[in-house]
Amino acid sequence: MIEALWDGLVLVFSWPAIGYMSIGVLFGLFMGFTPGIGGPVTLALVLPFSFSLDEVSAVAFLLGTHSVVVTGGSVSAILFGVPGAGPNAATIIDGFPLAQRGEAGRAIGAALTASALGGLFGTVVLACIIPVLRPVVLVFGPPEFFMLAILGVVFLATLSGDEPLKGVIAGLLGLMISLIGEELIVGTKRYTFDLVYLWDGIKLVPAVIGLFAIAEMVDLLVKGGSIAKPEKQAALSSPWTGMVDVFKHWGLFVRSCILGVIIGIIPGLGGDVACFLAYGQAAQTAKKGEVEYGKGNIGGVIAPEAANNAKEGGALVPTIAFGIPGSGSMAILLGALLIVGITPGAALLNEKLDITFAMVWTLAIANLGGAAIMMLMAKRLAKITFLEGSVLAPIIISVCFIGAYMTTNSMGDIIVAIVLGVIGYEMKRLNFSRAALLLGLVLGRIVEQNLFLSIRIFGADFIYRPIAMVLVVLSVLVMGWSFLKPVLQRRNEKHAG
Amino acid sequence: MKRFSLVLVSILIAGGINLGSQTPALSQDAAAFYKGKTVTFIVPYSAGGGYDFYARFMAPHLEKHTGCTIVIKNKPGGGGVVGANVVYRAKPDGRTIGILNMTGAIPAQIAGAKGIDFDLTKFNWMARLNDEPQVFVVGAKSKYNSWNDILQSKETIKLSSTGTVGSTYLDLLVLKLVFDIKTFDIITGFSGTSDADLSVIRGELEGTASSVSSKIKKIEEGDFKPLLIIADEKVKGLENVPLIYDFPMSAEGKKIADTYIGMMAVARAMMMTPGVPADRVAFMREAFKKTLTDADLVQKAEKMDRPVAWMDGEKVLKFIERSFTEAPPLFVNELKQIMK
Repeated sequence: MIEALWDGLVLVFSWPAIGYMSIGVLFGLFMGFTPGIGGPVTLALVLPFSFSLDEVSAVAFLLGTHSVVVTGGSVSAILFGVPGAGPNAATIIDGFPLAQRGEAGRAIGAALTASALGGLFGTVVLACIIPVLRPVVLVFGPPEFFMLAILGVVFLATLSGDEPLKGVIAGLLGLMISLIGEELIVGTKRYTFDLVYLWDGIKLVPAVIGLFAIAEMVDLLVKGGSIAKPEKQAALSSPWTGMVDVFKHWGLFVRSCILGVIIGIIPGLGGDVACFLAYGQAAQTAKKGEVEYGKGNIGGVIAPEAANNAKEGGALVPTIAFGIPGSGSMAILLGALLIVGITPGAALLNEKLDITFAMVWTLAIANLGGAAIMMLMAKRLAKITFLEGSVLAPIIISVCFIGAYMTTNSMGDIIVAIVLGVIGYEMKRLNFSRAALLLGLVLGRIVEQNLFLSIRIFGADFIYRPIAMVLVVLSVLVMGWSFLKPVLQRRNEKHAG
Repeated sequence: MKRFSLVLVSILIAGGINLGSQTPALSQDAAAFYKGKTVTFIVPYSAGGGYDFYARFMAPHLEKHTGCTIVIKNKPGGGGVVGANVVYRAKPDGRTIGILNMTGAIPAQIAGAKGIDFDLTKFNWMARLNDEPQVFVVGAKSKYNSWNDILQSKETIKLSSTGTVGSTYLDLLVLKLVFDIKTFDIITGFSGTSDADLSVIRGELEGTASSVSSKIKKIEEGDFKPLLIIADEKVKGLENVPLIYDFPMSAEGKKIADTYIGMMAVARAMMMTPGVPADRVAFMREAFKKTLTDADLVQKAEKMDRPVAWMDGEKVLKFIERSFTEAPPLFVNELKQIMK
């Protein structure tokens, strides 16, 4: 085992593998930074170049590209409120307000550190649980998915601070939007108005681009000035402060990583859920006196970034062990592995353990390398937020439309972005939580689908399955706590007074 | 090092050039027309999916055989309907080609589903990419060991399926209709075949069905017991598994089986806009033939569990027409129910 670990490291650092990995990392960062181009598209683009490579080079090239896409995407999420890739959507909620406060450097530093260390965390877990993979994956079924999503919905109430009713309204609006499209169970088309575009529902990326990027740019143009107030430029925050923040929020970081890994290991929930659950969890456990979530709390950047990269380590697990991809990108990777002659399954864990560890090492090194590259550029990039809005906004809005259009190459994407842009702007003005709407949008379908499956398979008793039951108790506790907390705080204040 | 720089160079020039045209003198006009032109290859599904993979996999070979540059464009939506509409309505100059999942498109057109602007019988069919024999499986620990066990069962058999428009559901529905099985309880709503598979592996549900290529690995590793193949000839690697026609069925049942197997025979195929000049159609068909019969390409595809089995475009059209003329009323009504 130790020997395979070492052999794997040697393989990754041997020429030409390390060269391919570097190309992959640079390309992945660039594609991630470009809005709307997510992991699967990036991998699909580089896939043909891997066919002629040897096993190790191909693995280093593809995994290197794949593992940094979201790292690059977090930077555009924070600076402009545009998600570079789908999973960066949750990072915007607090990342962009931080940039507005002139703390873009700090937010980028925190995001990069959290994603790099989160990636490492996921990798270590992956290496540790390789022997007991199968039972872990098979423990989660529709009842468990359903309860995980319910736990996410419960977090809704905590996302809007002192006005919980507004949070619930925004969340329900999100749930309603999630119902648009053809549902999976009997194929009924809901709220589609005979438009083929709407059959597939409202996609996350154009929705987020509208809700955040477009809404913020409109706001910027209305108010004038720059994203961050110029007087803050003197105290331009350093990415290294953000790095320190991650260590200050160590508990939050580890919890988010664990959530990410679990969701990565179990195929069927999708990557976006990991980030939003982690975000909800962060808001839920916020301490008194912290900056409100949604208004620029550094924890709101750390949690989703950590969870996302930790998840990718986890997602590799079912891919290499069963050949069941844990995410969209993993499905492409799987095809590439087969073509260069690596067949997932028992053989990879026994005879070719060095290749498996080469994958693990690639994940770790690419994560660190990608973050380091962006870290060096962060301070310069952060200066963009001090540009005059009348110069910056037109550029960003055009990039937004390109990013939205990339989702399905259809005008429908642009219309969705504009409509949600209007909704997002009004929500911002009236102080409704856009994060709650997004959470509703991401979780709505999952709740419905898995509730239906659970009842069809197990009847109403599905709730008594052990893990589902634990999640029920957890949800009740979280809900109870979010109502009790303000009461207790008030009483404490009275006592103190 | 040499290969390294080669890849670097090819990344830099972004896969756009043609490595010398090897076009035969099939049709001088068509060859001259395509030389140096761009051809849009519409993939009606998202980047990174199976169809997208096939398109990107074939593109360099098509470029080599035609002298044109292939640009792949993803047009997902409506389960392939959006992209197919785009190919159908494109300018009929032969510069738009597409790939389609026929097991979704044929039933949709039979049922007269909404949103369809195309007529499958009017496309210029280029070639078949592959057929998709289907297999019915149960979990490794299931008490059912043969298709007869299933037919004779008095208990409800719970089966996992994707949405009602997916081929998993169609497989199970066809089996139910062909053998008039009353005990099937088809549980729809899984996001994809791998989620439906996992439900059976976890032991929550008894069995499922889908293409052999998506099941073969799990059968080999002992997660599934294959009980029946929905095809008219034996499948490599599963020679011991009986075929659907090995069991008694009613006359109407046989018609349904025939229709469905006809659709599966042309499961994935490539097409061109109606009304393209005949010489360009013939030229492109030839390019697809050379691409899909290239031994190296076929072998590489097999290795990835992405089978390739070329069939000529004119024959593809025959299969499509047959499924429209032969579909019995019972089947058509069921499809209308699903596609409403």
